[in-house]
Amino acid sequence: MQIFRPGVNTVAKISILAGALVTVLVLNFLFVQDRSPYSRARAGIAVAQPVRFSHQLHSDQLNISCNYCHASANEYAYAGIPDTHTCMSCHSQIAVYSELLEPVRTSYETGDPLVWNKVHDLAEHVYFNHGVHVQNGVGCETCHGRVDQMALVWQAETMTMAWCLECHFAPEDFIRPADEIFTFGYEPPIDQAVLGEQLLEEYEINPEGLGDCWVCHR
Amino acid sequence: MLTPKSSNRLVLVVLAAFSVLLLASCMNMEEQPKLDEPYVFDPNFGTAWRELDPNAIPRGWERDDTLMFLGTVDGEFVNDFPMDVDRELIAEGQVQYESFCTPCHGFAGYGDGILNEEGFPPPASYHTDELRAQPAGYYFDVISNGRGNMLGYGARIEPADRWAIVAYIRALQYSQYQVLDELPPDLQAESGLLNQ
Repeated sequence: MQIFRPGVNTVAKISILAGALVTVLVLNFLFVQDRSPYSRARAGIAVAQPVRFSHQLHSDQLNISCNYCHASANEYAYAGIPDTHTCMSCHSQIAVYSELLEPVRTSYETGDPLVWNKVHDLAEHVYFNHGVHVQNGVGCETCHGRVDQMALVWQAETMTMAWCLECHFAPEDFIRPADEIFTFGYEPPIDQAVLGEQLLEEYEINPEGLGDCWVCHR
Repeated sequence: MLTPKSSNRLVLVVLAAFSVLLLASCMNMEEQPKLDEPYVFDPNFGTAWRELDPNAIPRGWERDDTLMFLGTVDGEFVNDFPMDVDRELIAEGQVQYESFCTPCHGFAGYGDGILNEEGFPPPASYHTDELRAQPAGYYFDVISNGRGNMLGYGARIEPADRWAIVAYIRALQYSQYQVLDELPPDLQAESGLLNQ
């Protein structure tokens, strides 16, 4: 007995193709979603910290230089987190009875470091050197976003390899003059296409090798 | 031409190949077992770093040069710099000064930084006879170890950068206290003070 009409052959073939297509689309969606700023960076979602330190207050309102607390970020591979001695440079006199600062005072008195929660956690197989980036024209803002507008900090960029390579393949699109590194809300004074080329020469950056595997992986 | 049977097999193979991609989310190479704690003993590898000999001096940490690291010669603060004071050093000093010092000392060194408004007791102005008379080494020592309400900045500022700050403080002092007759003649005319 003939159950299927001959035309069903076409339907079967199309449904196989459609099935494969849907599979690919679903996988594609999962991949894109996994690498999106929403799921990777959790942009806008602040990380809880033992002390509610506000960059917005210290950096934007009081205009204290990034360098004041992040003194090793300029030169060293590991950007570092300021010790409580740094906090106490001011808070030995300012807001001395603040309850919010109790963990800071305890840490300063006992010598036990405050354990901050890491916001920017790079992959284990990346050998990232923070100082090199600061010294070669990558502004704080370029990777960390408008930290000066954040009360508690969140990760503003995806920090995926694709994101790193955007700049490693074309640093001239992102680098800025040495005296603008700490600037937030920076706009290139002249066309970035012109400025970028000048800065490449100034910093002696050779973009040729920057995309090589060994630059970041060993 | 594909027979129905072989085309089924082909579809299976393609699906199997794609399903391998699903595993990608399980292989999280971003988190790896590593000797992150350099001095913690691991039965397989020992410690990642060897304990330092107590007498070892890390590279760049010898402190024999008392002028460079303490601002003293024979135990006395001296009014001398361990390096040449040039425009470059003073410019570097300005960058460092405006990072670390202006919150309290203010941009010109009058002790009128923004933190005074927040309740930090104003520090002394640099522009007093007493502080103008202090040797360079004294300023280096205060930056390194602090004084009064000011905590030391030795842990955060490299010695060479501390000297750059001292050079910039000197520049600030000259900028606010200059005997007119000591200026070169062309600058005297430029200052506009001669005709007053």
